[in-house]
Amino acid sequence: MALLDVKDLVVHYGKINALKGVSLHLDKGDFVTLIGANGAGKTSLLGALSGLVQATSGTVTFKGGDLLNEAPEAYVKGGIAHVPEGRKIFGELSVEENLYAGAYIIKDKAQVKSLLERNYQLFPRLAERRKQEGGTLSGGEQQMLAIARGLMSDPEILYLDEPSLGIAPLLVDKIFEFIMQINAMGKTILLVEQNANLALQVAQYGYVLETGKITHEGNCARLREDDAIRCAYLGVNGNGN
Amino acid sequence: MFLQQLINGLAQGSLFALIAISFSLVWGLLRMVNFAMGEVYMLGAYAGWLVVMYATPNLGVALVAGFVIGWIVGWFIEKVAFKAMRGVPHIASLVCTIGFSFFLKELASALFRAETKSMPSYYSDTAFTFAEANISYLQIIMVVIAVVMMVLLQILFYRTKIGLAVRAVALDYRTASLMGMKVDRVTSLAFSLSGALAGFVGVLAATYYNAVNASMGFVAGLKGFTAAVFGGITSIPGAILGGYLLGAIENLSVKYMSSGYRDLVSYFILITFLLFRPNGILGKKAKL
Ligand SMILES: Nc1ncnc2c1ncn2[C@@H]1O[C@H](COP(=O)(O)OP(=O)(O)OP(=O)(O)O)[C@@H](O)[C@H]1O
Ligand SMILES: [Mg+2]
Repeated sequence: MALLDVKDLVVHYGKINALKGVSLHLDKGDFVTLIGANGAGKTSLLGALSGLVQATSGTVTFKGGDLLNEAPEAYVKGGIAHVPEGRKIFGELSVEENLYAGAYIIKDKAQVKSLLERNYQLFPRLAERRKQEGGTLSGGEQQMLAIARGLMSDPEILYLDEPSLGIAPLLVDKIFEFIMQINAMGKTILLVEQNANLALQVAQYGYVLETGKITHEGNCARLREDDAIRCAYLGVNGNGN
Repeated sequence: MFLQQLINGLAQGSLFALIAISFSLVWGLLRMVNFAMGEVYMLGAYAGWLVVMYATPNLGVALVAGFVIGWIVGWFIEKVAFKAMRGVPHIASLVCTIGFSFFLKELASALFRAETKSMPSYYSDTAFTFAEANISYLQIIMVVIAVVMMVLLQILFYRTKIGLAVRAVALDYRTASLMGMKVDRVTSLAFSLSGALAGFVGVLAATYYNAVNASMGFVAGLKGFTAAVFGGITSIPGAILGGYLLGAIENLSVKYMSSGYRDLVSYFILITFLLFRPNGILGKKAKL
């Protein structure tokens, strides 16, 4: 059974038609990426799949239950964590408070503590800075914090919206290693990226979104060889140079 | 004389500081001013007065009544002026709270008539005299209550889960909602709490001045707002600082100028700070 199944999702902002019938599918443990240019509708899609954006029509099924246009808390409680574009750290809260905020839906204090410790093991940098204000972290550290905060709700699926955005190349590699590690821990990943090169290397399955429509999909290895994708997203011309 | 005015300033500053905190709470969450805060305070004062006149002379019960009435009225104002008006320009909510301010004042004068009710004295005896300055029990109680309230709020905001949610929602409500925080409920709670605080202070003030009337909220609201702007409306510490400083300055100005200038000094501070330092003494950096 699919973990997350999306069919014919349509999103409008007033007259702007941001998504024109998008379908995608994730099984448990998958590492799926969605690539697309600026304004393709990637963030709108994640928003509609976490309650931030109202969809006009379509279906969203998570673990067999219908989740279309519910309040955001229904998605988190169901097991979805959305790490938003631009990190959106609570700048004036400490690193630790940011993490506690991520665990808001978890009632069991012992569980919150153990999630916190697990995150500090995964991201020792955050442990060193636990009392520091989130806003004073470097971009890369903030991205780690955003991911860790997402993990604090102990989700089954993690959405990542452009985690490489505005981060030094060296740190980007580091962050992608973390993401692969998190996937290896058993979390399903839906990774949105403009950096198609990197995304198609780390993920197993990929979708290409162009102005609100999925134009290609397939195993990442195959997408990497597709001439149209190489040309448009991987910065290589059609002759395979 | 100087010392006496300073002590009076401290007692009155406690009232200003608590109202200023109410303004800070709403500002922190919604970047909004509730101009009906003074009227919530006035309704709290009437609630306290009704309790001591008709139910029990116990001042504690009166304070609780002020708190509860303030909570309810604050909750209602949030529902009408802010929640129902979400999505329309900020100015509409602002004007709506001004409307509430007039409405509640007229409602109170219709219900209780125009004349001032006298509130019985409590603990007005002199506790001790120090360098010719008299300090009443009530003044001590007021400062203690204010400090206890501030400590409780600090614990609420910095040591509890709901406090963390209030701060997170204040910073970025969209992201907070992704964590499963119920933005509407958190906002409503903080708004109601700000009303409760104002209602509570209304009873305290009625006891201190021995008077309750329908127009008492106007000046109190303005002074509380001034205190918040003065210290820094973005933060509770700023509101507290502003409250006590304003209390001290007002009362000392009585010593050095004619007492008629008392309110003028406050308005001068308000206008000066709004014009030249709208983030107050503590500045923008200070946080809820
Ligand atoms: N809140 C909004 N109101 C109106 N239009 C919006 C809103 N959010 C997005 N859009 C429009 O919807 C389209 C898709 O935007 P979206 O942010 O989903 O794209 P994206 O693929 O995430 O782009 P980027 O790579 O730049 O983040 C764009 O044309 C954008 O202008
Ligand atoms: Mg985007």
